[in-house]
Order: sequence, then C-alpha cells, then structure tokens
Amino acid sequence: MKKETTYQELLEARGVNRRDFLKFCSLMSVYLGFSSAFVPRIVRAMDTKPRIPVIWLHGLECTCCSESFIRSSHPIAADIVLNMISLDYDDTLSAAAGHQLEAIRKQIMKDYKGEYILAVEGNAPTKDDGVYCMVNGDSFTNMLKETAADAMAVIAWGSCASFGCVQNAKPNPTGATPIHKIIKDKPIVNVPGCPPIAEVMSGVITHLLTFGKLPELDRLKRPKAFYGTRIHDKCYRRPYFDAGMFVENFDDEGAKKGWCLYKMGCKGPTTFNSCSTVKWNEGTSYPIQAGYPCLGCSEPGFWDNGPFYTRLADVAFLGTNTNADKIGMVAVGAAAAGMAAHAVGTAIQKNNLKDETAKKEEG
Amino acid sequence: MGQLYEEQYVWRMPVRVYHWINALCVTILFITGLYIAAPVLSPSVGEAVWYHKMAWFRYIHFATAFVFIANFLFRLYWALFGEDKYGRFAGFKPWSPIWWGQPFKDQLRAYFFLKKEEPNYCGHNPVAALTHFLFIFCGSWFMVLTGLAMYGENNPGGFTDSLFGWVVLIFGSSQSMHTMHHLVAWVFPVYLILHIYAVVRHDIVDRSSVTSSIVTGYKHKVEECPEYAD
Amino acid sequence: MAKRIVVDPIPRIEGHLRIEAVLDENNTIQDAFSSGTMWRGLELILKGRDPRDAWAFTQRICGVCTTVHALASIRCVEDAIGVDIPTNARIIRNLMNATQQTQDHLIHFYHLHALDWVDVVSALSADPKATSELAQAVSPSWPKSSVGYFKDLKTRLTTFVESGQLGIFSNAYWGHKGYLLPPEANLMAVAHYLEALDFQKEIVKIHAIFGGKNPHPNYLVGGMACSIDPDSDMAINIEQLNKVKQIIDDTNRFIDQVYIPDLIAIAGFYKGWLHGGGLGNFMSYGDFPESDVDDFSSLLWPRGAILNKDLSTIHDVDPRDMNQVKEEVTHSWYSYAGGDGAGLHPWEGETTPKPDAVPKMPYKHLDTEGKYSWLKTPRWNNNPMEVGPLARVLVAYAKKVPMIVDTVNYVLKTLDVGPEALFSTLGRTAARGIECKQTAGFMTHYYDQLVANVKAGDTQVFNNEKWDPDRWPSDCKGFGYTEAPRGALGHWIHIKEGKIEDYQIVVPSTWNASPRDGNGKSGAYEAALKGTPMADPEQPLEVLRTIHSFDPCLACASH
Ligand code: HEM
Ligand code: HEM
Ligand code: NFV
Ligand code: SF4
Ligand code: SF4
Ligand code: F3S
Ligand SMILES: [Mg+2]
Repeated sequence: MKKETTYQELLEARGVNRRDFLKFCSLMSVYLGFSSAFVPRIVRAMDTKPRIPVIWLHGLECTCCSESFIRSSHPIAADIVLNMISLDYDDTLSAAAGHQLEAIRKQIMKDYKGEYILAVEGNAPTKDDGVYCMVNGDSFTNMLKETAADAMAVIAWGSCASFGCVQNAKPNPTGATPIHKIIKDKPIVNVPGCPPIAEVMSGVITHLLTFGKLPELDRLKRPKAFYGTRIHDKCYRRPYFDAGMFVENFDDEGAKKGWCLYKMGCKGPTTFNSCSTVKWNEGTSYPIQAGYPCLGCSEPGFWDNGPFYTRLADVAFLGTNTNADKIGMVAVGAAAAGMAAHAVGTAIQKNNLKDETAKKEEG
Repeated sequence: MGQLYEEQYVWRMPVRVYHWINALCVTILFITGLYIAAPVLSPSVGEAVWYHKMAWFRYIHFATAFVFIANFLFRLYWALFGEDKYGRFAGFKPWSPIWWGQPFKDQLRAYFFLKKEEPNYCGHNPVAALTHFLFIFCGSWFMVLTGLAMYGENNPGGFTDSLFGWVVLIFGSSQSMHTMHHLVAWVFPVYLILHIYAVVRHDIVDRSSVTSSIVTGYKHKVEECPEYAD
Repeated sequence: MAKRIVVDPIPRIEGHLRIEAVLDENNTIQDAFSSGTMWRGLELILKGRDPRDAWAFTQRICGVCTTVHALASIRCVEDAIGVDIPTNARIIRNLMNATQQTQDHLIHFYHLHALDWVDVVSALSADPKATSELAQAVSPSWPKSSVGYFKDLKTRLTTFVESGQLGIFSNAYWGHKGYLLPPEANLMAVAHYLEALDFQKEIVKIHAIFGGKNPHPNYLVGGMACSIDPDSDMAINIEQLNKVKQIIDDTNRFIDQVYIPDLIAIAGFYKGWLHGGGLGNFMSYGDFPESDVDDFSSLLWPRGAILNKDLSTIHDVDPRDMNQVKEEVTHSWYSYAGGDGAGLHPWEGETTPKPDAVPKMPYKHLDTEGKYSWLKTPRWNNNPMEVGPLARVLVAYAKKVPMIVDTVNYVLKTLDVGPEALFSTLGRTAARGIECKQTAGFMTHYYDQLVANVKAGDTQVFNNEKWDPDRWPSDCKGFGYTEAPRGALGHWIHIKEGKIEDYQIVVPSTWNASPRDGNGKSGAYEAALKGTPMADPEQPLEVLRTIHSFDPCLACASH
C-alpha cells in the first residue's frame, strides 16, 4: 500500500515529458513571483517528494470554496488532486461513504501522523455543544479537533474558516467560530475570500509543495503572496478615484466609462485580496471590472460592515442601526441644544442673583 | 492657592501657538476627512495633475495630520517638561480619588445650577481639564493611531505599517477601523461647541477675559486656584 | 428481523446529510429517514438588514447552486418594493441562470453522480482500442477518442492506482456487483470525468463577465451593474460578447457530444434498475421569463404540479396563496410559537431552533419518532412534493412544451423504454441531462436576445427609480422564485421601514430531503428509498444512487 510516487514519475506516466515538466515548473515560478533561479528548486521538489495526504473537512459552509478550487486553471484542479497531493478525504469529492469514508480519515491520521495537511472549509458552531453541525453522530467541532491533533499544518479555506463569514454575522445564531480560535497549537494559513480565488487556493498548495514550507503570513495569518496589498492600490480604476471621477448611480455615464465605484460603496480601499491582479476565472474579470462595488469578501466581519452600497458602514448603536455621520450629527445637535439651554439657565440664574443682590443692597 | 484680582499671564506663547495650530489642523482634518468619506464635488475630467481632487483632499488630510501629530506631541512634551504652571498636566490625576474631590464637584454643581457661587480658576477648571482629557487627549491619540494605521496600509510591511499596523487587530478589520476613525472624528465638532460656549460664558459670567486669553495670554479677576493646579 | 443502517456522511453532495434506513430480512429498504445535520440560521441573520444586501447573504447559502438564491432574493425584493427591471437585465439574468443550470448539472453528472454507476478500478482492465471504438460509436465527432488517448489515460490510471495513494477514490465500493458497465465504458467515463472537470470552469466565465466572478457572482436589485456600451472600452462591448458567444458554443458542443451520449450509453446498461421512483407528486414554480417575472404564461419552463403520476392533470401553483405552501416542524429541530403541529405559510414563517431536541452526541441513531432533522417540512396543499429536473421535465412534458417533448421522446426511444421509466432514479438522472441540453440551448437563445436588444439601441441594465429606500412603501411583502438546478426555490420577504422584518426561504432540497410531516408522510428522499433492494447493506451503493439522483444540497436545504 505504500509504494509512493514522485510528481515527476506521475507526470511522466501522464504523458508529460521532461521538457513539458520543466516548462511547467518555470511557469509556476513566474506565477508565484519568483525569479527563474528558483526553477531548479521547483523541479527538484516535484521530482522527489511523495504526495502529501490531505484531509479536507467541511463544517458550516456553502462549499463555494471547493467550487472555486475546481475552477483553478494553473495548475488545473485535476492535476492537484490526482498528481500533486493525495486528497484522501473530502466529503464533496470522495467516492466512499459513511463508515468507509470515516475509516480513511482515521487511517490517514494514524499512518501519516504529523505529516498530513488538514484543510478546513467552513467553520465550527460552538453554541449548544455544536449540534448545528454534526458528522456521523458527533459534532463537527470534535471532529475538527480530533483531526487537527496530528496534522502537520492547517489550511483554513475561505472567509468561513478564516474569519467566520456569513454564519458568524450578527447575531451568529450557532456560535460559528473560525478555525484559528479553536485550533491553537498548529501552524494555520488563512486563505480568506468568499470564496478565495481559485488560483490563490492552488497557489497556496503548490507553494507548500514547491518550497517545502508554508508561505510567509501577515498579521491575520494570510499568505503575503496573495493578500499583501489592498485591491484599491492595484485597481485599474484607481486613476479615476484619485481624479475624483466617480460612478454616482449604477449604469450612469460614469459607469459606462469605467469610473471609480467608491461612492457605490466599494470596499476595495479596505480589502486585502488579489482580485485586481490575479482576477477571477482565469483572469476573466473581477467584481469591480464588471461594475459591482467590492463587498470586501476577504475581510474579517465584512458582513457586519454593510450596507454594501454605501461607503460608510452602519454601526449598531443603542439597539438601532445607524452610521457614524448620523450619530455625529445628532451629537453635534444635542451639544448645541444643550448649550443653548444652558445659556438660558445661566441668564435666569444671573438675573436671580442680580435680584438677590439688589434686594440685599436694598435691605 | 493664588488669589488674584489683577491681570495674570496664564497662557504662555507655546500653549497659545499650539492651540491655534491645533484648532486649524482639526478643522482641516475634519472637513477633508468627511470629504474623503463622501466626495461630493462634481466630477472633474481632464489632466490628472490638475484634477486629482480626491488625491488632493487625501494629501491635505495626511499633510495636516502630520502637522497635527507634531503639534500634539509638542504639547505633550510641554505638559510634561515645560516650565509652565498652567500648561502642565501635573495636577491632573483622574485615577486618584482626590482628584474627584470638592473642587471637581463644586464646579460640576455650578455647571448644573446647583451651586450659586461659581469657582473661578486661573488655568483650567477641573471639569474643563477632564473634558480636554477625554475629547482632546484621548480623541487625538485615537485619531493618530487609527490614522497612522490606515496610512500604513498602502505599503504593508513598510515603516508606518510596521509601527502602527497592530492597531487594525483591535478593530478586527480595516473597514471597522475606518468606521471608528470616522465616528470619533465627530468628537471634535462636539467638543468645539461645548468649548466655545464654555469659554464665552465664563467670560460673560466672570468678566475674566478668558476668550482673549488664548490670544493674548492674559486673564483678569481670578479669585481662586484649585489645589491640583499647583 | 428489521435492521437499521446508517449512512453518514454521505459524500459527493453539498452539506451534511444522514440517511438511516430500515431493512427487512431480504435487505430491501422498508423505511428510510433523511436528516440534515447542519444549520446556520440565515433567516435570523437577515433580520434588520438592508433588503438590497439580502442577495449576497442568501447567495452564501450555497456555493454549488451559487447564483440561484441571489436571483430569487433580488426578484423577491423587487417584487416587494415594486420596481421593474430593464429588458437587458432580464436577459442577462436568464443567461446567467441558464449558465448555472448547465454547469451545475454537468458537475453533478460527472463528479457527484457518475461514481455510483462507473467503476474506476474496472477501467484498469479496459482495452484502449475497444474503448476508442466505443467512444467513436457513441460520439462520432468528439475529437478526444483515439486509441492513444485512452491508452495514455489507462497508463496514468494504472500508475495512480499503483502508487497506493488512491486519494478521493479510496475505500469505495469498486467491484460491487451493482456496477454493470464493461471496462471500456468505465474507462471512457473516467476520461470524461476529467474532461468535464476541466471544461466546467470555462462555462462559468460568463458569470465573471456579467457578475464579476464565479462562484458567487454579483447581482443588483433593480437590474444589473454590468453596463453595456458597444462604444466603450470600459463596459461590455463586442469583445466581451464574443467571449460569451464562444463559451456558449463550446458548452453546447460539450453537452451534445459528451454529456448526452454518455448519459444514454450509461443508462443503456442500467435501464433494468428502475428503483427509486418515490412520491409521484411533482411541482415546478417555472422559470425563464420572457417578459415580466409575474407573467407566468411567458415562462419557458412552465409552472404547475402533478399528483400521483397523473400527467393528464396539471394543478395550478400559487406560492403567494397563504394556503398552498406551508412549512411544518413536527419532526424538525425547531419549534413554532403556536405549536409545532400546524404548518405556516412563509410570510408567517418562524425560525426558532430547538437544539435540546437533538440527541446527546455521540449518538448511534436519531430519534425518528420525534424530531430528527435541521430541515423543515414544506408541503403543498398538504402533499409532499418532489421538485427538480424530473418535476420540471414532467410538467413541461405534460404541458406539451415542444422541445421537451422531442428530447424526452428521443431519449426514451433510444433507450427503448416507456414513459413510466421516468418515475425512477434513472429517470431523474436522465431528466437532468435532458434539461441540461435545454438550458445550454437557452444560453444561445439569450445571447441572441441580448445582442438583438443592444443592436436595437437599448443598453440600459439598471433602473434607478426605486434605489432609494425613501421611495419604498413603508411596509411591504414580496415573493421571489426561481427554478434552481435542484428544483423550485422560493424567497418570501417582509420589509418594514426599509429594513428586513422577516425573511423565509423554502429550498428545493428542503422539499426533497424533508423529514416526514405531522401526518407521517415522507418527503421525496425517504419515499424514493423505500422498496430498494440492497446487494450488500455494508456497501450502500443503492442508497447513494437514489439519493444522488436528487443532487442533494443540504446547506441549501437547512440554511
Ligand atoms: C477645533 C477647534 C479648537 C480646539 C480643538 C480647541 C482646543 C483647546 C484646548 C485643547 C485648550 C486647552 C489648552 C491647553 O491647555 O493646551 C483650549 C483652550 C482654550 N481655547 Fe480652544 N480650541 C479650539 C477652538 C477655539 C476657539 C475658536 C476659541 C475662541 C473662541 C478658543 C478659545 C480657547 C480659550 C479661550 C481657551 C482657554 C480656556 C481655558 O481657560 O480653559 N478655542 N482649546
Ligand atoms: C482630528 C483629527 C482627524 C479627523 C477629524 C479625521 C477625520 C477623518 C475622516 C472623517 C476620515 C474618513 C474615514 C472614512 O470614512 O473612511 C478620515 C480618513 C483618514 N484619515 Fe483622518 N482624521 C483625523 C486625523 C487623522 C490623522 C492624525 C491621520 C494620520 C495619518 C489620519 C489619517 C487618515 C487616513 C489614512 C484616512 C483614510 C483615507 C482613505 O481612506 O483614503 N487622520 N479621517
Ligand atoms: N437545493 C438547493 Fe440549491 C439548488 N439547486 C437551491 O436553491 O443547491 Ni445548493
Ligand atoms: S467563505 Fe464564503 S464561499 Fe467559502 S464556504 Fe464560506 S460562505 Fe461559502
Ligand atoms: S473601484 Fe474601488 S478599488 Fe477600484 S479604485 Fe475605486 S474604490 Fe478603489
Ligand atoms: S467582494 Fe470579494 S471577490 Fe474581490 S473584489 Fe471584493 S474581495
Ligand atoms: Mg427556511
């Protein structure tokens, strides 16, 4: 059961010759943003390593991250799943069911203790013992902890696993909790986005395979290679932002001319993601290019930073939804009214004092 | 515990200069800040160097922000090390029960018309001191830290981001930080209303020429100085 | 002696589904229980929010049918606030919907369902030459069918299997006697599994062009935001349209030359396996409006219901009627303020979870006498209904929609079976293919409509009239529907002072996978499993087949 094959052998078996293989490696290095000096290293990595087992768990989620993953174009998903990693457990793609499927998970955890990758899509409900997500009669939360215990590293796919996403939006009825708040003793890579871009997902995996280590992460545990800068700073509409040329209404003249969507609520200025560089669906487009303001879907708590079509987010204040400007204007009004009332009070008091003094002087 | 009836030099030059630079900066920051959030001027079309309206507003906001920060830091220095009886923070100890004692209560009661005789101070009265602390001191720190954290975001890993990037973790996301920067911005106009009202009122009630004092430095007819101000 | 088997997790679906089946001494399924084991509370999360944002929240109910909730949601909000959308927006939405159906069905057939019929390990003993001949016979003009192509694939497959790391193919039921395809057909199917995986990602580029991305393309209340201007290099112009056209042509080619031939070839071997018919009640809300969404006569997919397999009577369906569509929670982990027994119309719907009714974990069996699922139980005039491709095809067939009648007859004739064969697991799977061919055709149809409309000078995609909530009624209700890949989907909203007061969603998979109702009547999954003989209860291949034929989506179903 344990004769393991290297990528190169597999690729050869697939009819990929050495030349194509080298071409693939150099493309990959370009894609990952490394100089051609890295090519030999990629070749070596692919040449010698057996396929890393991956257990891909699904918690509270919409499975969009899987859907996005299978849209990967370089490398294509089939290559990753069949040739680069060994995707041994994944509810959405696995052939086996029920206890046969569970048996695989247990087997991998045993045979590859400390050597497998745990990929998690979705997150875990922590309220009410976790009854809001159950697998095989137990809570997903338990399953997650159990599977993470012997993992080499954890990849948190999507905004659900990374930050909580939609089910964790107020009032978070199930206590949905992102992975890094449950698994604290393992290296975790957050790959946010609702969903993340396909090539970002495959990029994270191939980075690990190629360079033999997790990509460098930022403060929010996101790979810098894909979440290093804001969408806004590399958006092709940025010149219009700087020039103050904004779409004022959807489908107006400015919209047809591709002006900036800031006033339509675009969250590009506060969103770290690769949409404006890697783009979506093999570089076809990204929301802003199609005329839609960015929702900020790779940012923590973006659902509660709405409404989506205004620049200024709502803030919950004394049980109402309002925004900073409304609160500010009410505060200014209240201050002005208060001071006016106080002025009246002062005048009355002064008058009284005058009367009293006058009386005293009289008396 | 000075009992003064004559002209008194209260606000020394550094405090006055600080005050007016600060007032100017805050005004500019507030206006440009609101513009950044809601760019209302009609769109302009043309050569970038002339028409970069949004860029200009942001640039003015940032440039002013750095003047504001420098000025603020200077005031902190002056408060801690300046040889200035009224400009120091020395007596200001809101964490100590003593500070909340009689002078503070008396002043508050006077403001609420519960006490007829209003105390009169050379420097700040204790309620004013607390208001300055909350609105100006805390408010400025808040705006500076969130402002710099946002400013650093265009170059993650760069100088500003390395120093102030941690601030975003407090708010969870960049967008929430923007929201709070925006919300707290409103503290300044609220403060301005309270502040100007208080100043003008004191002038009328005490005839102490407080208003002009922030220009000339001199106050008149002061009866009492609080314990803490020494 | 009755024996209870449990299949949990069920793979190759969306979300978390558990099936408990009771077998008799001959291993035939006597009774079955379907339980959705996840819930996120979207209906509660939506309360108090801006109705214009609702599409994005509801879209995240499911990433597999990634546009349908967004579409139902904007239609629902537009219905409530009373805004008409421009013609181009209607066409683009229809095109995006057809794109979604086509891609979703393709993925389902090859990547979620095929392994119930195709034995990957048997493909190892296929003869490449015979496979090539088979492929050319089945699909004469599909280029990837040479001997070398299949030889190479076989080598790759052998190496893969010999590596000892079987990945997603581990521990399955290879060699099960329920698998009837010859090795060559298995090898051809594996080839198309890989080709379809590679191709599906092309189809959804249409979503990227009009909605910015896929999964989860953007939508907009009042129209779409993808401005069209043939004379702008920053809007949708001819280059973008050409790309759309190219994708549509390729898609039609793939469906015609790969999917449909495969479907017929595989079905040919299994046409004796006619289990899984189930309820016999079918319902469709209809979709693909050629004018206003409220003009039901213009729907390309008609609306209607069929009871007891009686194709001669089509019943009218009105989801706004407070008496027709109702949801019960007798066997669901929820409670209703007025008692769990009565059904509630979604405009009066309630979502109150009852977590303490879930058995203490870990459990061996659910309390199927009591509450046993996170799905509610929707009923139409108190009837459990099957929704989805089979329901739509039957309603259209009964209403004599020409293209459907032709395709259905073609498939039945080719397979040499009668119409009664449609009421089965295989019928459901075939209906999906028939429908997929149709939606691929719709893509061309809508492309042509769009181009004609733009050519006539209409480029508007958005109606700004009701964008501002100040122009909405202060209290209003709306209903939005669509025919999602898995069936009839409805969203019901109540808006008060510009905010969402209540939002209820009744999803296709809720209809199909629901636990039984207060009268003890099973939903479609449970009904379809009953009577199915199992070759080996340890290897629940038959359960997977029938359940997969519905294309379950449990994240959708419970939301
Ligand atoms: C945004 C505008 C302003 C801000 C932020 C501001 C802030 C301050 C602060 C922080 C102080 C305390 C000085 C110190 O201890 O350093 C102060 C004092 C003073 N300000 Fe302003 N100020 C503003 C505008 C004005 C204006 C417009 C006037 C004149 C009408 C004014 C009159 C005074 C006076 C008279 C004092 C001394 C009051 C006292 O005895 O406490 N200020 N101001
Ligand atoms: C009295 C002090 C200040 C006020 C009233 C103020 C006000 C504002 C307001 C209202 C905004 C718009 C926020 C939004 O909705 O996104 C803003 C943005 C900003 N402010 Fe300030 N601000 C102040 C100080 C500062 C300081 C000290 C800095 C430091 C550099 C700063 C940097 C920024 C930055 C970087 C932005 C974001 C600009 C953008 O998103 O393009 N601000 N400010
Ligand atoms: N059931 C369901 Fe969906 C579909 N089709 C939605 O309405 O899959 Ni996720
Ligand atoms: S992150 Fe978004 S896309 Fe991914 S599973 Fe969660 S809701 Fe779906
Ligand atoms: S469209 Fe959005 S991301 Fe692009 S420049 Fe404008 S605000 Fe920035
Ligand atoms: S909404 Fe998401 S997909 Fe990109 S442009 Fe914004 S981060
Ligand atoms: Mg519901």
